[in-house]
Amino acid sequence: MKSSNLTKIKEYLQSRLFKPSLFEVDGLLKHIQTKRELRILYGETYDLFGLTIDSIKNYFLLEYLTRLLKEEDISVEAVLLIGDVASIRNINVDDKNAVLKQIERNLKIINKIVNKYHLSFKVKKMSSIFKTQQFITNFQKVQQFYEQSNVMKDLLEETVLKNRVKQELAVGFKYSLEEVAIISNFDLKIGPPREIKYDKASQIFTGQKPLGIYVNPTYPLGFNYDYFINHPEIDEFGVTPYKAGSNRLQANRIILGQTSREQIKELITKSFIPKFEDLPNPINDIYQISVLSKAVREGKTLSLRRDTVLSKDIIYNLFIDEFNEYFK
Amino acid sequence: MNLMSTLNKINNITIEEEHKNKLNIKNQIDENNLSLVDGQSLKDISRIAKYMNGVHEYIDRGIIYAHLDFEPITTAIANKQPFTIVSGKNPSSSLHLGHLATFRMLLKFQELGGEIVIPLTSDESYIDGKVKNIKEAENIAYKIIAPQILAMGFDPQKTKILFHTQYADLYRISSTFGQYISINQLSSAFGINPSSTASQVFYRGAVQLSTILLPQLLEFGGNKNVLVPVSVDQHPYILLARDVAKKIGMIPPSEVVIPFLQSHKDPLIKMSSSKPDTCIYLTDTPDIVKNKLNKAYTGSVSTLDGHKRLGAIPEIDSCFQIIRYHHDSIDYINQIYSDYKNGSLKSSDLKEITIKFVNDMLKGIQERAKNVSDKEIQEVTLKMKINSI
Repeated sequence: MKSSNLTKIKEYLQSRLFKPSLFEVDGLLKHIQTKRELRILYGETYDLFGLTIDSIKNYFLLEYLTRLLKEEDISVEAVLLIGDVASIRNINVDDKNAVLKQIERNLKIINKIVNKYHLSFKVKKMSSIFKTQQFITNFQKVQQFYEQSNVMKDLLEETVLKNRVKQELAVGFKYSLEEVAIISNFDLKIGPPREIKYDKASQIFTGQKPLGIYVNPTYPLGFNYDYFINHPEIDEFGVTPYKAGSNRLQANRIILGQTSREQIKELITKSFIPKFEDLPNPINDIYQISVLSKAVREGKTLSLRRDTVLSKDIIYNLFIDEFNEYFK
Repeated sequence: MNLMSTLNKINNITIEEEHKNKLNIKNQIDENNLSLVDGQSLKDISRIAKYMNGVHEYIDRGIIYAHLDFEPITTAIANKQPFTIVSGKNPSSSLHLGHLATFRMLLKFQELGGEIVIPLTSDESYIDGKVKNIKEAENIAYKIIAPQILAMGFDPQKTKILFHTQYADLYRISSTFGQYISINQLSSAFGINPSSTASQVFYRGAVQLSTILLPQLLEFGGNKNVLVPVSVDQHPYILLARDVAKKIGMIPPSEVVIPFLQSHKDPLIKMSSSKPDTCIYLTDTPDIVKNKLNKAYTGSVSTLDGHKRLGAIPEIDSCFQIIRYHHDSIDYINQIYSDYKNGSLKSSDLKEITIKFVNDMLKGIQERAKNVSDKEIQEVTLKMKINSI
């Protein structure tokens, strides 16, 4: 049944799953209402350490949004972009092969999940998109725009670490321009807050697109409060959700097919639960992932508790009930 | 008609203006505190406070409001690892409620795993002219202050009192560490000038920082995390000690900053033991406490009607501040805050509550202090012989 004024979508985007302080929910809804046909992107790159549960959460976030939009009779084409080319840029040859093999293993799991949950997004590899004429033409346009726009140049410099600027300048910020060329073809883009700069660069190029929807940062499990106090960059930005080895914290992430149930239990047990909503809460992430999974699997309305009063044992059981088959 | 309302009439100001003036005092105090947190040498502690909610009452209550390198101490506390705290007093008279607040904070840190070193700096009292001679300060330190400290309930196994002038090796340590501080550094830190005495220069440039670094000597187990709670005027000592620590391969000590407990007479001045009319001593009798607090500065306006209408400003009310610093229950403090702020709790009632609270608290400390034996003081007196430097 249709809800007036996209109420359900608004509630969803304003929930603790997202970081609405980084994007204008009302503006986004207005755009959705006017457009009626939307292309939505969620993209990932990978490392050697496998597919994280945080990636799965983001697939569910994308899927749930897609379903809410479809309920409003909005035509949606959602894409999960597998950034294979981007994953192996800037690493040595041996690692490149190992990462590509890992990506293939990830894809098998992703396809299994897509089938099990009847996920409606298309899974596309970046390498395949690069071969299309549409991309080649768009990339040339982005490149020409970059040459003439100092604003764009400044913004792209902010997308890389300071010690990488020289290296990127030497290749004309090719990687970043490829990103812009891809994402500028979409109306909406879901991603972690640290992707905001790419989205802004794309908006400068297109004059509008894509509108970013920023997911709450992902936090490592198994740490007490002092870890976050002593690592302010993780306190602020979290880790990269789709890179299991982000900040070398692979031992503190849940990786499908690799982390054991016992390890998951230990990670949950050792994790700090904050008393304030604006602090990192990886246990709440596990709760959200479990509830999202159930809602998507059963095709039902998502209902998240605002507080985290559930015990760690209950949250562990909720999680294992949903994802039992991926962990030994 | 009470005194304030008479004064208001003479000064021709309305109740609203009186309230506004008091609000300006609060803002002035807030601005002063904020201006000290510059993000460089001192950082705001509010984010850490959220993480540590429920761990230390003084962090929860915003009494500890700034820090320098407190992060390693949070790791020690979270992981139940040992750390050391150095916090002392220059003896010139009995401790007062402001000191008691600092020692309550230390007690909590001790519960969280901290070993406490309490320097009693009779040398400092003398060189700053707070006593006639060192002997007088030593007597106060040994006969009044040490028993008061022990009466507060410190664990003797994890507490050491360092009587500066009776610890001969402090001269050895100070002569060594003082070598790393130049007169130029000292001048920029403390404003040493040509009229400063040689004793003042030696104390500020060598003795004080040696006390801070002492727990990291080999005899005390070597390098470790040390926390020094200070009022902001002592911040330069910490910077000097950190500087020397880096030069000699020790861990730079961490710092937390606590505001002075305001005098019961004026929110803009601190309780100072060398100025008897500014403070409530731990030795004060119930009648003296009653007399002092009945005349205490309040955050309320001078008419009951105005108080009910405009509410009070607890942040500058000396009675509320005493409750905030000393009461065990945060819920009780919050209740008093809200009732007083909205005008439902009268200033005279708050005074009455505070008089009873302070007298009950002091009665316990005074009785226990009376019974502290010489043997107990000797047991916690720091006597470690230093040979490593």
